[in-house]
Order: sequence, then C-alpha cells, then structure tokens
Amino acid sequence: MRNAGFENVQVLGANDSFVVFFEHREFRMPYHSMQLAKLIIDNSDAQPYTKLSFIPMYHNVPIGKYTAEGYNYSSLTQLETEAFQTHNKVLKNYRISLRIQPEVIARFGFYTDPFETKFNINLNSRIYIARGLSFQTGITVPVVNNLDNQSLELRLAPSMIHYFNQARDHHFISLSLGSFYNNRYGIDFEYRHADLNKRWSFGFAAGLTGFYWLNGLGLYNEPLDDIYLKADAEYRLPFENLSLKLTAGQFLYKDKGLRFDLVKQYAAAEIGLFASSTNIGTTTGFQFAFSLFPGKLYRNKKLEVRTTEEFRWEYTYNNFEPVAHDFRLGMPRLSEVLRQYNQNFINPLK
Amino acid sequence: MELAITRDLEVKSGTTSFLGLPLFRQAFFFISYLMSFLLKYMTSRRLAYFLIFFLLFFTNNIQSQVNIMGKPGYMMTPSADWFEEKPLGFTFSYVPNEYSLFETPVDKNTLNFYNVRAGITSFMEVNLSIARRPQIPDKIGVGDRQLDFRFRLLKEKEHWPALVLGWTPPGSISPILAHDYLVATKHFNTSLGNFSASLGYGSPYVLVRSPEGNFLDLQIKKKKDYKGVTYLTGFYGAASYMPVNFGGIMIEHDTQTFNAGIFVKYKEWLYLQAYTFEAKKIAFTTSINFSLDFSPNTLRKYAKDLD
Repeated sequence: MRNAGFENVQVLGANDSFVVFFEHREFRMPYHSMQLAKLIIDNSDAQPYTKLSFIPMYHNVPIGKYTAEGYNYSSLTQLETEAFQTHNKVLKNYRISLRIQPEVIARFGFYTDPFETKFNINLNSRIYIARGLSFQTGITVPVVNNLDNQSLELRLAPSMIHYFNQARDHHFISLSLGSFYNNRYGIDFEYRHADLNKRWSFGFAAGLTGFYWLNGLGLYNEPLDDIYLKADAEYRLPFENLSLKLTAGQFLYKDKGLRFDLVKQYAAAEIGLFASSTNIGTTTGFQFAFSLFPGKLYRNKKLEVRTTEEFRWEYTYNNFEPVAHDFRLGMPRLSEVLRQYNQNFINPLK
Repeated sequence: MELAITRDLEVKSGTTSFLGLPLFRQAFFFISYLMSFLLKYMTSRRLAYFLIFFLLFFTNNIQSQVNIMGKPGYMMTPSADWFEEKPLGFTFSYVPNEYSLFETPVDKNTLNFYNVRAGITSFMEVNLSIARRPQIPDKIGVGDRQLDFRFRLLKEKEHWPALVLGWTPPGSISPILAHDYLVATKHFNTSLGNFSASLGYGSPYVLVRSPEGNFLDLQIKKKKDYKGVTYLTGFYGAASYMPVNFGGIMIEHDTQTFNAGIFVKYKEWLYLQAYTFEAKKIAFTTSINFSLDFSPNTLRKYAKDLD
C-alpha cells in the first residue's frame, strides 16, 4: 500500500477481521483512498478476510471507522484508539510531501484592464510534528500579476503552525497560527460538531488577523486588529448530495451579516452557490473545488511530489466591495473537510 | 412535429423560398463534405466498417448541442434538453456585429461569449456568461456578465416533451442579456436518424434595478423599450436532425431571424457548431461538456493496470 501513496499504514486485527489505519494525502475524498486501499488488499496475497474496515486519517488524526463493504461509519472503539496511539509514528511513517498549488485571484470589470488577475504557484509542504500538529511552509512563485503592485519576486508562501484534532467523538477543532492566504496573518480557531452519520452539523470560527504583504523579502504589515467571529449550521439534504449552510456573524473587516451556501458534491468536484448580505452590501456568486490533475508526479519511499488535493475558487458578483469576506488557511475549512467524510455522501457512491 | 414547426416558421417569415435556402445549402455542404471524405480516405473495407458503425449508433444518438450562451439548445435559442450525465460545460461562441444581442451604439460590436454551465441538482442548473466584445474593451470593460438558472419542470416521456423554465434573477442595473423563457423539446428517433424539435416562449418584459436603489428597487420594462433588446422575446421554434452519430443539421427561428447550421461532435464531449444568420453571416460555437463523477487519475490507472 505504501507504494500507492498511503502513509502511516497500520493493520490491526485477529483471525479474519481487520482494521486498516492509513492516510492518503493525494486524494481530496476519503472515498477514493478507501476504494484504492480495497483494490490493493483484494488483489494482494494478503490473508483473506471476512470483515475489513478502514480508518482514514487527516493530519495524523483518525476521523472514523468505515466498513470496506458498505462504507458505514462508526466512531473508533477504545481499543482501536489505544492501538493507534501505540503504533502511530508521526515522524517516521510519513513522506515529505511537496505540493504544487496554484492560486488565482481575479477581478473583472475595470475598463482599462478587464481581466485583472494574479496567478501564483505555491510549492509547499506540510510536515507533521505530532498527532494533529503540523507545520506548513513553502515558496510562492508569482507568474502573472496585473491586479495590484505586488512584485513578481519569489516570496515565502503562507506559513503556519496548525493543530487539528477530534478531541472527543464528533467534536473537531482546528487552530492555526501564522501567515495565511488572502494576505492575512494572525490566529484562527474553528470548532465543529459533526457526527458523520448525521445530516446536521454545527460550527463556529473566530480569528484575530491583520493585513500583510511580502515583496520578495520585504515585509509590510498592518496591526493585528481585525476580529472575526461567526457561527454556522449545515444540513445535508436527503437527496442529490446537496448541503445547505447558513453562516452568521462578523466577517472580515468588521462586516456583520449573513451568508447562505448551497453546495453540491460530485465525486470529482464540489460546486457551490452562495448569497450574502452584510453591512457592506449584498452579493451572490459561486465556488468550486476539485483535485488538480494528475495528482502524483513523483513518489518514492521518502518523498512525494504531487499537485494539490484541493483547488478552490470563488467568484463573487460584487467584486469591488468585500462582502462577507473570508480568508483561506493552508487546509480547507473544517466544514469542507468533514463534508467529504459524511457517511451519507460516501454510501451512495459505491 | 418538426415539420409542423417548420411550416409554422415559414408562415411567420412570409418568404417560403428563403427558408429552404440556408437549410438546403447547409445540408448540401454537409453531405458533400461527407461524401468527399468517404471517397477520398476510405477503402471499400473501411467504408463497410463505417457503415456498420453508422448503423450501430443509428438509434441511440444523444444530442448535446448548446446555444451561444452555453445552454442546451440550437444556435441562439435554448432547448429543454438536460445533460444529466454531463453537469459541467464550457462554451465559447462568436456572434458577428450585425447580429449582436446589444443594440445601442456604445455596446454593439462583434460579440464573444464565454460561458460556464454547472448542474447543481437533477432539476436545477446555473449558467454564467461573459459577453466580451474584443474590439472595444476600453469602452465596455470585460463585458456584460449574466448569471441565470434553468429549471427542469418535466422530463421527456414517450408522448410528452421535456419542459424547462429559464430564469434570470433580477437585480442587474443593466439586464440586457436577461431572458426568461419556457421551452418544450421532443426527440424522435427514427430509422432515418434522430430528430428534435423545440417550441418556446421568451418573456418580452424585464426587471431593471435602479442604479441608486437596493436589490428590490425594481421596475418592469418592456425589453424593446429598454435599450432595444429583442433577444428571445416572443415565440421561438427550432429543430435538429442527426442522420449520423457524429453530427447533424439544425434550424431555428429565434424570434427575430431564421438561422441554420451544422454541428459535429467528437467523443461525446466536444461539439463544434457553425451556422448562418439568415444565410448572410457566419457564426460559430464550440463547447465541451463533461461528467464530474469520475475517479482520480491514480485510482483509474491502478484499476486499469489490474485488468
């Protein structure tokens, strides 16, 4: 399995019943990594099994247990958690994973230059330090910029320390400290309650950030004085992999209001529509996310070079006023990650 | 049914001889191209294979042409077709100056549409179009942006056509491209090839937002009185015929003009369409439409290597 990109693979089992722990960073969806794991196990000369389960990990944290037959979710048993803690080797069992992640920021509309775009390629890597604790850094290679006057010199990519954990079953937290995308730096915290069997999930997020800008090695930054605080509820409709999400609170730039999202999940992509209304104004738009082709570029025992598991882009109709703005971390937001792990999504795909 | 529509169109235009011309001219070009291709490149064995291939796909052709704004349709007009297996589409189209959808001297110019279509559910689809005018970006910027939805009201049944409602959410201060319509489409698969016919009605009214007001500060205006807009106002009709599985011909009356064209497809996902406006000006549309339910490259490769 290791040759196929799996990391930190551990097998727990007796007789003909097995539980396989693994992490696979190339795929956006755990469904695909479980599918690949099952293909490999079924076609290897491994012991035959009658009961097989997978425990996919994210940032070295087990998310849940899924049966290989029906992809039915359950939380880990005490025994499984203990076994994982004993065998988990966070420094030894992972490759160095170099990720190529393009970044597109575009604004349409000014007469003098209708397609104002900024296109960067981030070469970055996430290094796992301890369970759930990781460090992400890299280099940004600016390719085109006719949007603003940031220089085309190489610069440090958003770099942060990140802590992700499932403290208790269904309770997820994410804490980030460092420089983020969209020129923000500071601290960011997210909490989400998501039972991956259920249709409802709830979360809140808060952060204290400031503006920063790098021109090569030159740094310009504004003070750390922008607080955001928001809460959301998400409901997965019982048909067509649609989710509705309502977020309320104070967004970036002390902008208070609401944002409504409709998200459709496909096996290869996610498409969303949204509408927001805040102090600053009203807007609507769409977003999409998908894994970049081709995925793996090079892999050996210690090193992997790949394209990003998730490229996300959002288009908003009102592109002059920052209505209900958000910024990105080095990982997708918790709701975006956990949506992929929901049993109601994975189950019908098989 | 498509015959009935054709006749209906003829009556409307009042020039029966004129209608036949572009259609026959297009059909003639298409068939003569095909013949010359067959004669030039095919040995008799290849020709036999071709004919078998031709017959095999005779009855299960799926048509997925799009209109200038990337919606399932013909040339200018949208149809009630629904690309269920292909929820994502990108379309580029070229419309000559004379038949531009824009009527005021400021923004009437050679028109290029860049469109994205995304299926959100099996009954709702969202479309985004940017109407770029490459020769005058300094005057109009990137071009008008148009966001609209399609709702599938009825699926096609054996004796019942598919029905789709197209809706542009109001809120634009310059809704030149806004269009709201209801359209029915029926397919007929015969031993002579596949036919489709559509009949639709586009609303002659538009909701305009006042520049100072908020989203709800709307005014109903007659399209014609609002910057002379005539696109899809009133009844329209269209028909297509696919004698072979890789292409066909189509004709429409888009409420203003008669247009006729040909389309060629490559491997179900790439479509090239060329057509004429009233046999006077050439325009074209090219589109790709694909599924979003595929596995990642690595997984597909692994599964393939096992076989």
